[in-house]
Amino acid sequence: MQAKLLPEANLLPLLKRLMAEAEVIGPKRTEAGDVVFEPLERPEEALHHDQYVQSLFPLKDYFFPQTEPLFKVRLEKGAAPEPIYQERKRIFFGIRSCDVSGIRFADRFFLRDFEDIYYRKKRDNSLLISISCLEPGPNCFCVCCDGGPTLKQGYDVQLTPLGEGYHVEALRSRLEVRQNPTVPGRACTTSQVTPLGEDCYVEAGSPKGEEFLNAHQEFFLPASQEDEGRKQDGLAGVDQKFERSTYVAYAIRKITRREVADEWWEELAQRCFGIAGCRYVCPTCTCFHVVDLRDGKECVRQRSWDSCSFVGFTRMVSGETAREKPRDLLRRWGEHKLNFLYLLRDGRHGCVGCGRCLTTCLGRGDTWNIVSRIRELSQQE
Amino acid sequence: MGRAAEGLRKAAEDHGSRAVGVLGSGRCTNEANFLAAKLARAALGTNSLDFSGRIAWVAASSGVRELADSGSGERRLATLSDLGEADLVLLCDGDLAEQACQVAALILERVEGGPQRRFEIHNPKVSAQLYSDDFDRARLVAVSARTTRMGKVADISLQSSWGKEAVWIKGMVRAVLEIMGSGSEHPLASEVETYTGDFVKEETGIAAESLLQAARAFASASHPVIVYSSGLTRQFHGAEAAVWLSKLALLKPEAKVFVATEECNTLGACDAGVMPHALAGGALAERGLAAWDMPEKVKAMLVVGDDPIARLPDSAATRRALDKLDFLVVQDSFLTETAKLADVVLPAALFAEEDGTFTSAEGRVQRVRKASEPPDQAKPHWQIICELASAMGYKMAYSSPEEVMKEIAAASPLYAGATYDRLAPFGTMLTGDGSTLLPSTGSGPEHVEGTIPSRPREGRALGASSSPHSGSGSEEGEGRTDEGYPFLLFVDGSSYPWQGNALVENAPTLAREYEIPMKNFPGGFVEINPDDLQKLGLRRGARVKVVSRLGEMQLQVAPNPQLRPGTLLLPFFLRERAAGVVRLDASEGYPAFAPCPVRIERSA
Repeated sequence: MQAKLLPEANLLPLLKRLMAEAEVIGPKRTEAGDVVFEPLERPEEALHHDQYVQSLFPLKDYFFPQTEPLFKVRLEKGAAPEPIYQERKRIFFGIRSCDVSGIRFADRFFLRDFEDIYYRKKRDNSLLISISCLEPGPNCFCVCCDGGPTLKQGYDVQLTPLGEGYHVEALRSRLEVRQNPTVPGRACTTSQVTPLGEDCYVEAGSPKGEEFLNAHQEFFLPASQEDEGRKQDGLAGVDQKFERSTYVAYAIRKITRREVADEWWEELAQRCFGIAGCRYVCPTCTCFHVVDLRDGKECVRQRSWDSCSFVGFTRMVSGETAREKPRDLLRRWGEHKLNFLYLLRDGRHGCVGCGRCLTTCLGRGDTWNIVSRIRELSQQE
Repeated sequence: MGRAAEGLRKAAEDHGSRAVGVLGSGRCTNEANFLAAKLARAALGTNSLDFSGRIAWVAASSGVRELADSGSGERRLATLSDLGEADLVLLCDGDLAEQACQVAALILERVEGGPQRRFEIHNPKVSAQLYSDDFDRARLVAVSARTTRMGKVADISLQSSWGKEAVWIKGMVRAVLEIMGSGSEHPLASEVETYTGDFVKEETGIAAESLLQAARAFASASHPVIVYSSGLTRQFHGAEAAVWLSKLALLKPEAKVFVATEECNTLGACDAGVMPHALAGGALAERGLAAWDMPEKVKAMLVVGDDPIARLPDSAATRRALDKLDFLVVQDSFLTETAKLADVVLPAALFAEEDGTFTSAEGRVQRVRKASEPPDQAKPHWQIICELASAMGYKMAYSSPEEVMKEIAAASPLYAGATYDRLAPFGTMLTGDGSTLLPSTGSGPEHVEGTIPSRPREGRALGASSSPHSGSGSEEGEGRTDEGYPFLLFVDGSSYPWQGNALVENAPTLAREYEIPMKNFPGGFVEINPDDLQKLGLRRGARVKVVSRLGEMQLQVAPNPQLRPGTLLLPFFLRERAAGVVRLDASEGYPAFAPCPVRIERSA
């Protein structure tokens, strides 16, 4: 693991340099006040770490677009499909720990059992530079889900603001996601940046992150033990600042043991408007729907986000629909996020605690409400 | 473009300008609607100008008019902030959670309370109150013909009957007057004298005690807000109900009314002058044809982003009439049912592909911005109208929607402050002194759309030609069941509201949802209370004959526990099946489905 110090004065020059190398996706504020991650046009556009907590949408759109043409084929005898790959090199700057956790979760889905080439290409061409959070937002609960506010592993480069600079560290990822025989043991990498005021403590968390630090040495200073101490001091107490906290394990136990009654789901589902907003903003929701769009003599296969909050999601060829009632649709989501079987398979439960479902939900059908309301059941036991 | 202009011009020349009709749309921007109105009135010289979504606003406009006439000098139409400050919400809807989920969510937030979620309310006072620790929650009284989602979370939930809303509202006015001690001196007292608890129970099925409870809650509230949607205003006698809700609101000095409109820009389209009887700014015009009369009475039409076949009650008759037109021009983003009949289709940009403004249900003018370029040759509606007008020899040279907005602001005092630079980022509220509510309510008595008491009975069987259906209508108009016809059939659009929406139909993932009801019941379906189904000895999906005094139709039965026993619900999108079976009533100025007594027979 490599750790460096990024002096404040070097931040904009570094961003400028990165923009010359690749498309830099950074935090921007729209006119209406929303935070979005979009390509930076000028380095100064990027929001300072204390000007935002989280973007409205997760980053999944960059790896798994809402609608994505996969390949096109001429409708002629013998015509071969022409895949449509997106291979732009992208550097994600200033993303949050929960964003990284979300992407790592999606990595397991797209790359583990069956490698999705479209996702792989976009993922290989990305570098994730994240920033530790020192101030949680009103709906954040990553502290309960091991999704943040700072990461111990999983990032490419992590910055932690120190008050006078960024601390950059590169961790070697222990999770070997890729099973590519031609590049054995190549780990999926993520970088994380934590701004603590002005200077930042910088850590590399992957070979990609190491490579990044090596290639841009001129921007960084060596980090001392004292710097690391300052990083730890800065992060201490952040956990206490969360307005929302809840105990996820209890909900996992109740759901896995099927001890949450249908009536309970029904009660909660009355607060669900079925708009699928939570699923669309969830960084770990990866369900999709595939259609062939025909335009004259050409056909494009396109995949788009799908959502288990739609009745048609479980419609079968026979005409039967497995889950039709709002309570079953909501329960399906709760199960996927919190059932222990998924935890066994994926290594973590399906929520990183970003709180976007809470921000988006018109009613009360979000994960935080599911978890904390199941907890209320414990008081009745 | 040349052909479209030539066709419209020729129709106006051959048959007179009155033989040409123009439809705007509650889904198009203010700018597009304003230009459509200008094209109709100035270039074509016709007053037959409307949009089919206005059908859901006619009844509401009577209610709004009632508020304006009260002369209380205060704005009685609620904003969303008012809703956030309410301590009681009286909700009379079809299914608000389906039709206007943002409003439903705000009510839910207000009713369930607590610092759950940071809902963006642009009023610091409300935000502070909503998220303070000593949150003072509002009470919710929900009245609907079905037990809806909102009804389930309400403090007091009343199940009424379709078309009978005015009855319980009058009953409630009577009860509130009694509670408030105004008794018989109040000018309304004599009008509601007969609406006792027992009478209301008999007519609507609402228990006297529940009604009294609701009346007490209303009377004791300091900031009650009455909310209703097209679930009420599209209904039979919706105008009467809307007017009486206004009268109820006027009993309390602080009470306000919020109308959840059906389309995103219903108010804006009205304000832009897309109405057969008024110009932008509210000045009266010689009355032209309304959207629901237009196709049958004109020779040529220009349809700007509207889909009358999908939105008007009598789709079959509308389709037939549109098909008979000499010339039809449709500009739309999709090949809708209406566009399929057109002589010329002009491809138009979607809302996310053009700039402009919408006026929301609370009267907030907001920008809508281009997020992506329209595909191929598609252009924004306003631009197409400009080109069409110019091709017809009426020069319309606007460089941007902003320029159009300046003209709207000049024409309509309400929009004077709505220049683009003042609309960022959250838009601006239409303001006016107390009685100037919205120009769509008009200023003269001629503007009252639904005159109360209602005009002589007018109406016809669904799907029939335009000649009034007379005589035999009186009994089913009363909506009385008897031994021969023990069920009451209603047609209502508040369930499956997305049906008929081209945007949903053409989105691959959503289209799947769109198809499900019909895949489950390929023969079409009518919803029925499960207990009734059991009594009839029928299974889910059984094929039946629904017989009214006018005719019969073949359908499948679908159980729906939300319905009260003795009622049947035909979803609005299946209304063509009921051609010749149910009656359309036009006594309040807009066609509405009259409750129809029917019986169910097993199909052979």
